[in-house]
Amino acid sequence: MDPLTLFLVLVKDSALALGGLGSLPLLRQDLVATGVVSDAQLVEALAIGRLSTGPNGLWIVSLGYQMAGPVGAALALVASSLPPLVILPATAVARRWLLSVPFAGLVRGAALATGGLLCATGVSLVLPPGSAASWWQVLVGIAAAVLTYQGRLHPAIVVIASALLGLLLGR
Amino acid sequence: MMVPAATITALMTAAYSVIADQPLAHAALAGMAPATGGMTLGLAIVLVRGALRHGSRAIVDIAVVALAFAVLLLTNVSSVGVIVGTATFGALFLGRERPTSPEGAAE
Repeated sequence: MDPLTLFLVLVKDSALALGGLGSLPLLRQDLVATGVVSDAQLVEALAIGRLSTGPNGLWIVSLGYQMAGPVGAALALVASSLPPLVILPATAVARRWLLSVPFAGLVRGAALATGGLLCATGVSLVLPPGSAASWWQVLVGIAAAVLTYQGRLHPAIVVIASALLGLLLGR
Repeated sequence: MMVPAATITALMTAAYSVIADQPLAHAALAGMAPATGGMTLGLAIVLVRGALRHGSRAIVDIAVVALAFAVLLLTNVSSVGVIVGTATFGALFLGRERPTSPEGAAE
C-alpha cells in the first residue's frame, strides 16, 4: 500500500471512530481483510499501544510503523490527530447544533454501533475464525475483559501478565 | 504532547520487530492475542454502557449493538456503512433523550 493510500485509509477510519479503539474494527476490515497486515501484527500493535505511554489511540502509530517503518508511524500519528484537530474548532462554531436532539441521537447511534463492532472484533480476537483457541486463551480473554471493564488494573499489567502466561502455556 | 508518546510507541515497535520472529515472541503473542481481544471487549462494554438509555428504550439500543455485532461477524458489509447507517438511524430515532453527562455525550 502506498503512503498516500495508507494515510487516507487511516484518516477515514480515525474520523469515523469514537474513542481510542473505535477505529479498530474499521482498520481491521480495511487492512487485515485485504492482506495488508496480519491479525498478529494488529495484536502486536494493540499490545504495544497498551504498554506505551500516551492515549489509547496511539496503537495506530505502532500499526503504521509495522506497515511502512518510521514514515508509516508519522503518517499514522498525523492521520489520527487530524480529525480531532478539525472537529474541535468546528464544535465551537456549531455548538448550538451539537446540543440538539438529533445530534445527540446521531452520537448515540454511532456509539452503539461502534460498541457492537468492537464486541465482535474482541470476540474474533479471542476466538479467531478457523483456528481453535485453547482453554487458557479463552480464560485470558474473559479475565482481560472483566479487568478492563472494572478499570482497576493498568492495561500494561494485563498485557505483560498475558504475555508471561503465553510464555508458560503457549509453547 | 502526542509526539513524545508516539516516538516511544514507534521505538517499542521497532524493538519488538527485531524479536518478532523468535519462538518466545510467538509464545508471548499466544497470550497477548486473547488479552487484547478481551480488553477490546471490555472497552466496548464500557462504551455501550455510557450510550445506553434507560427503561424500555434500552431494548432498541441493545438491538442496535446486536445488529452491528452480527453484521461484522456474519456478513461482509462495510463497518463504515454500519456506523453511518446507525448514526443516521440515531439522528432520526434515538435522540429523544439528550446525554446528561460528559460520559453519555462523549461515548
